[in-house]
Parts: sequence; structure tokens; C-alpha cells
Amino acid sequence: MEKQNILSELTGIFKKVFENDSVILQMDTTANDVDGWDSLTHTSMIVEVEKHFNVKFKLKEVLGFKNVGDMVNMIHTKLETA
Amino acid sequence: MKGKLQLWWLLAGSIIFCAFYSLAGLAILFSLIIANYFTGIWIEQSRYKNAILFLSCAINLGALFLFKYYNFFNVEFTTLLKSWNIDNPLPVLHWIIPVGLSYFVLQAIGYNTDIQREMEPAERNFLVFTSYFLYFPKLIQGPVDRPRNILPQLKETKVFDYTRATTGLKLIAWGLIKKLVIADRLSIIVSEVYAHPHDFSGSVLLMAGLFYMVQLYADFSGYMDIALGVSHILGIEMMPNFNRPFSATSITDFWKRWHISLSTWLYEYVYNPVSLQWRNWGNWGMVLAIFITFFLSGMWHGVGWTFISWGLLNGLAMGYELRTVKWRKSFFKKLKPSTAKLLSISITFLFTLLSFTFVRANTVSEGWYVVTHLFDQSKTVSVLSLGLDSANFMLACLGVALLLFLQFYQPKQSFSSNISAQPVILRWAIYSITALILLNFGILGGKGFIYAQF
Repeated sequence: MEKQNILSELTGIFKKVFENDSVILQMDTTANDVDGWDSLTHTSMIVEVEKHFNVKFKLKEVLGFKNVGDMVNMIHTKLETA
Repeated sequence: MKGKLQLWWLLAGSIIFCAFYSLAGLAILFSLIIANYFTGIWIEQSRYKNAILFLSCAINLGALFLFKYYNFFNVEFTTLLKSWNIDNPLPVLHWIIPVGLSYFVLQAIGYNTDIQREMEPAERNFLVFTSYFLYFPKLIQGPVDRPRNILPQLKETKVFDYTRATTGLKLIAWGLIKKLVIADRLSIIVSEVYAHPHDFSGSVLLMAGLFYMVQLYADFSGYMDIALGVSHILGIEMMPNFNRPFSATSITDFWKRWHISLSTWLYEYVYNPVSLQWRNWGNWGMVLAIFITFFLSGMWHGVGWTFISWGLLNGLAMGYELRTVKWRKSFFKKLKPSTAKLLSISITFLFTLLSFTFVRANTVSEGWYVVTHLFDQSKTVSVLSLGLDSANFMLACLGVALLLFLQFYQPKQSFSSNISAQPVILRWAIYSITALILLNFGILGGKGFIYAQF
């Protein structure tokens, strides 16, 4: 799957989890840019992303995400090697 | 070369500052610095990163346990053994806690964990490393600033900057007003009421609860302003610890605004990894992670059941907020936005006030007494018999009102820039009035800072 497609599917997941229809994701988007993305909803979002793409992140990988781009790249790598 | 010399001076200053409190404490901190210096490099180089991280945590937490918690658990253990008619063979230790050990340990664990996570490299320069851990503005009570923020700044050569120096001095002056004029004045009434809360009516208990909450804020944020101001003059920017906490609209929001360096530390190193580890348990995994985080937060703040109760109360509130996000959203949507905001702020404010009661009370049962007797008006005591005369009482109330007002009033420009923009005569008039306020109304009795005891 192309990275752009992953980003667009992530946008849908973020809208649902954060109950925020105005979410627009870029590769450099961080939690500070999205209303509703906080320490409590972060874990729920990771669970939804794993379910949707049928991937499993390692703890170290999730803790290393600095922005949405890091997550997109990780999903892309996992789907490529699956 | 100049930068290195500056660093030596900074370290010398920090060592003298630390030695002023206790030479033995300095020696213990220095031993821990050496241990952490080597564990950091070892974690980076080794294949067994988890095992060495575990070892480094054991060293740091072991020191914290020995100096801060041992006697508490020993007393509890003695009580338990006594109920079985057994004598406790463990001795009571009369050791002084090294200054800032609680803050030191958090920073050391964070440093080693970042290396284990391969997010940061180990620091090889021992001079820089030691200067970070002993850096005097943050030594006593934080902020729990991260090495990734401070270490690079320590390596830069500093040049004196007049604007930076004056901004720092203004921040220090504001911090001193908060501490000496407001916090220490409020503490007189608070100490009087909490010494024997059973003697007072509900309205006095409520007032003392409010005063304690503001005292704690003025004391801690006052210290932070002084520390940030000193550090600003030295050319090192530390992370701020407060962002108008009493304007929070939920407990979750409150913890993003109060003691931010600790909250973010707990999030990065406790809540986030634990909740992610248990993410397949649904919401309950997160609720459990919140409880563990706040239990540890309570334990870290102090030794005793009052602190544990306070931590668990906050965990309970956060767990409730997590489980009721949708319900609360739909409930507040039915109200006018301004009403919804006012209601959210009021509920959060009241909960915070009640939960802090347990931090100040001598025992959990006394805290419970205060919380359950806020509407009991069976006793009549004049507020002027609580240690302050009418002028000082009015001044205390004025201080509370000012700090609460500043929670909601946000000027476009900072106060410091506003003052700098004024003509020179007005500027110096403000400085002179500030000095007069401090000298005339400051309580210069040398009271310690509350958070330094944590």
C-alpha cells in the first residue's frame, strides 16, 4: 500500500477515535495539532490502527513515533514485509 | 575553552550549593552520578540493554527507598509484627535525605531509559553529565527536566545578554512575591486550622482548603519562577512547570497544567509503556495503568497514607473521566458553551481542593473529617483568631484573588515585555514598588519550600 493511502486511511481512524471530523493529517502532524489526541486517547488510537491494518507494533516502535509520518513509515514497512 | 571554563564555574557553584545542605548528601549524589554515567554507556554498548536498565533502576530506586521510604515501611512492618507478638529485628535509620534525591532519581531513570529505547545517546563528557545532574536551579525541587533538553545547552558557550538578565530578574521578583508575600502568609492560617481541624466550622475548613491549594501553587510556582529566572540569566532554558492549573476543565486537563515536568515524566516512563503493554485489555487496561501511575505519583510525593490516598483519588477521577468521555461530551453539548466551561472548571476546582486536603492533613482520617464537615456550622471561630490580624488577612485574601484572577486573564504580551515597553521612570517605579512590597509585606522568616520535602 502506498504511503499516501495509509495516511488517508489513518485520517478516517483518527476522526473516529478522537471524535473529531475536522482532522487533516500530514506526515509531520503531531498530537499537539489534533484536538482530542491526548495521553488517554493515544492508546485507543494505536489499538484501532493495529486492528485496521492487521499489524502489531512493538512497544519500542510505538514509543519511538514522533509524528504521524513515523507511524505511516512503520505501517508501510510492516505491510511490505508481511 | 571558554565554554569549558564556564561549565567548571557552574559545576563549582552547584557543588557549593549542594554542600551547603549536606556534605554527606553531596557524596551520595556524586556516587549515583558515577553509577549512572557508567550504566548509560553500558546500556548503549551492550546487547543486554533491558538487564542493565533494570540494574540502573534498582540502584536509583534502591537509594530512594533507603533514604526516603525505609523508615515508613519499617514502622508499618513493626506494627504488623507486633500484632503477632514478634519483635522487629530491623533497625531505624537516622539518615538525612540527600537534597533533591527524589528529583534526581526520576531524571536518572529517564536518562537510562531513553538510551535503552535508543532515543538518546549516552553522554560521554563527565563534566557535562555531572553539571546536568547537580545543576543548582533544578536541584532542590525540579523541574524534572530531561537530559535531551539541558545537556545540549550546557555544551554551548554563554554570552552575557542584558535583556535576558533583566527578564530573569523580573521572573525572580515575581517568584519571591508569590512565595514570601502570598504563600508564607497563607501558610499561617492553614497551619493553624490543620493543626486541630476538629475545632473549626465548615466555612473555616473550606477557606483553609482553598488557602492551602493557593499556598501550594504560590509556593511551588514561586520557586519555579525563581529557578527559571536564575537559569534564564545563565542562558539555560528549563521546561516550565505550570500553565494556569486552576483554569483546567477536567482532572486530565489539570495534570497537563500542574507540575508539568513530573506529569510528562510519568506519562513517558510509566503510563504510556504500561497502557500500551496492556492495550488489548480495552479501556480497563488503561484504567489500571492510570491507577498504577497515580499510586506511584502519590508515593513519590511523600511518605505516608495521606499521599497514597491523594494519588489514588486522582487516579480514580482520571479513570472515571476515561470511562465517561462520550457521556460527558454529550452532557456538556446540551449546555451553553460558557455554562459548560464554567461548570467543568468549577467541578475540577472543587475536586482539586478536596483532594489536596489529604496532602495537607496529618492523617487520612483527619483529611476525611475535613472533607465531610465542610457544611458543618456548629462551631463559631473568628477568622482573625487564626494568626493574622485584619490587615494581613485582607492581604492574604488579596493574594488569593490575584492568583486566581491570573488563571483566567491572559495578556497578549508577557508581563515582562509589558514592563520593558514602559518609559524608564514608570519602569523604575514598578521595580521600586515591587521591592517595597517584598520588604514590607514579605514574610522573611526563612520558611522552606513545600515541594522540596517531596
